[in-house]
Amino acid sequence: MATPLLQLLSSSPFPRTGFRGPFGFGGARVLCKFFAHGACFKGEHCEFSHDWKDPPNNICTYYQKGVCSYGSRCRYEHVKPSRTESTASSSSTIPSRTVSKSVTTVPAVPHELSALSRPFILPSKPVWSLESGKYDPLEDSDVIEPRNVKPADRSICAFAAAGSCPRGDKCPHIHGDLCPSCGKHCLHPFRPEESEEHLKTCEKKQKQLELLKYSQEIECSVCLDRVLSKPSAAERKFGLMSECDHPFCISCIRNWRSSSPTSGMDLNTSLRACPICRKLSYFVIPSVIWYSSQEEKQEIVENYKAKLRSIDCKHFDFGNGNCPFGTSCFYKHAYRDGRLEEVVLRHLGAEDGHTAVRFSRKIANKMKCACDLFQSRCEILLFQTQTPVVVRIACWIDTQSWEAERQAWCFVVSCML
Amino acid sequence: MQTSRARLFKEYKEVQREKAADPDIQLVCDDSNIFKWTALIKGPSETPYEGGVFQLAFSVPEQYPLQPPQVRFLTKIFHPNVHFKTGEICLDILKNAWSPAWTLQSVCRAIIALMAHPEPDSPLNCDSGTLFKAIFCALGTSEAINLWRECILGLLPHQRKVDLCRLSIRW
Repeated sequence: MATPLLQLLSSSPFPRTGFRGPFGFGGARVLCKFFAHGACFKGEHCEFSHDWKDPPNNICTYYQKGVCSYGSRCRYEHVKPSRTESTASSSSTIPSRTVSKSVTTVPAVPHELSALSRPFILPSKPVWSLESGKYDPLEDSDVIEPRNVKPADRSICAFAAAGSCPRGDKCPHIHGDLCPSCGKHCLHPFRPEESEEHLKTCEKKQKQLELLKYSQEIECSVCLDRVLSKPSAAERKFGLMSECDHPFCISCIRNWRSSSPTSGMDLNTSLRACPICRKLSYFVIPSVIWYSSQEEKQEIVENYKAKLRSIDCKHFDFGNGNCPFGTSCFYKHAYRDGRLEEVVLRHLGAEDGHTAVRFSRKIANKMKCACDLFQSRCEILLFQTQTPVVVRIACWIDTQSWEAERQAWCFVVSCML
Repeated sequence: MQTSRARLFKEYKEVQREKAADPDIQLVCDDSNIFKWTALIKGPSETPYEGGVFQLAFSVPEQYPLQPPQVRFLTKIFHPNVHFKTGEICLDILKNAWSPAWTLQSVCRAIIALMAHPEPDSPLNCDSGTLFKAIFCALGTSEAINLWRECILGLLPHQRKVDLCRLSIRW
């Protein structure tokens, strides 16, 4: 592909113009750059030429105006418009384009800018036809990226990364190494940290894609539909159970958990349990993707909790309200001045040796184990009023088991903190 | 309403697809109403109900699958957990142990399992429950099954039943 183009270019009698019009100087049509790179959306309606015989316009106009932010990495030619050129351009017969061989980035020069204030037209004849009989585009490309720069500074060829580079071995840019995950030549051989980063993100992306593919197939056993084939985006989410691994739609499982219990249904044994395995889960986590390992699940849960922790709890209301979830609330409990709520043991009432403390359910269960362990004569009555779980610890202590009781309380306090 | 309809439609398609998979259950949806279903189930083998075909009527609530369907026997059946007159079934999964993961098909399977293993301690048909207990307490398994079959088929004389019940009280 490269060679015929080169030959055509070398034999081309048409000028390379700096003009941004479909016709170059002298009425010749300019090769469409999109066409040259492989695809032009306009097809035959394009005002630029789709004929390989026509010369391309490869001159960076930004550079000519003074500043090109791409500098030495610009894919267009950095050709300096010289004074002779601008004067010669009016006659367009004297080909005297000077190619800056040494300077790649040139700061804006005022006198050049003033030269540009006049309509600027490039010379009609390419400079290489004067200097040498045969045009070698690589020579020209070397202007953009001299071979003598450090390999790490040379940019990677975007065409090779996207699939194939028309210039093949003669490409002035570096053709990257093959990335095993995405199958593209986009690993820079001389920038290890960059390619490593690419590998990492690529691997992650690939994994995500695989998971998504796997997730597509998963059905919710409440609606018997595929979770990710639901009509609205809000519904296309999984509800992860905290204690087991059965998949549901977030809307289905939330509906089930919040449905009013029919007679005889117990909140904990039926509604909060997994519909499939009946394992009790205290909360469900929304996720757009299903997980394949426990670590991934953990990550999803942690991300979700971290997100909620950054949102102010509407029940707590900066200290004005009272959150029924207490210390086990997922949302942020902070006062207006940014101070976080202090975790304290809350004594709800103490009447004749009964101490009632508000706990999260998990801690209550733990505590019950502890008390069994210490074999103190503590009796824990768990009773549940809608959602805060109020644990009433009734301790009838005789003087002998006082130490055991103290240990139990130490445990309780450590749980709270 | 919309969700229950969608879900029932899914179940309908599933039933059509897996017709051959479970020959003991034949689940049919009412032509005009997707909330009304009937099922024909075969009596489980090695039970007195073997060889019999029983018709069930399903009435599905609009909150389905958050609420269980109402199921009753249309065929008269002598079973400790089925009301003899109304055909009402006492089965935990149709009441407090319902879960939305159950389908009409799996409910049918549960009912077949209930026919094979009656739960005489929570009877809807007290006579049947008492008799069942009496027979299985007093006799060895194989003998009891035969006797139980006679009971169900109405072959056992009344006096014999009374005797059996007396026996169980002594036990």
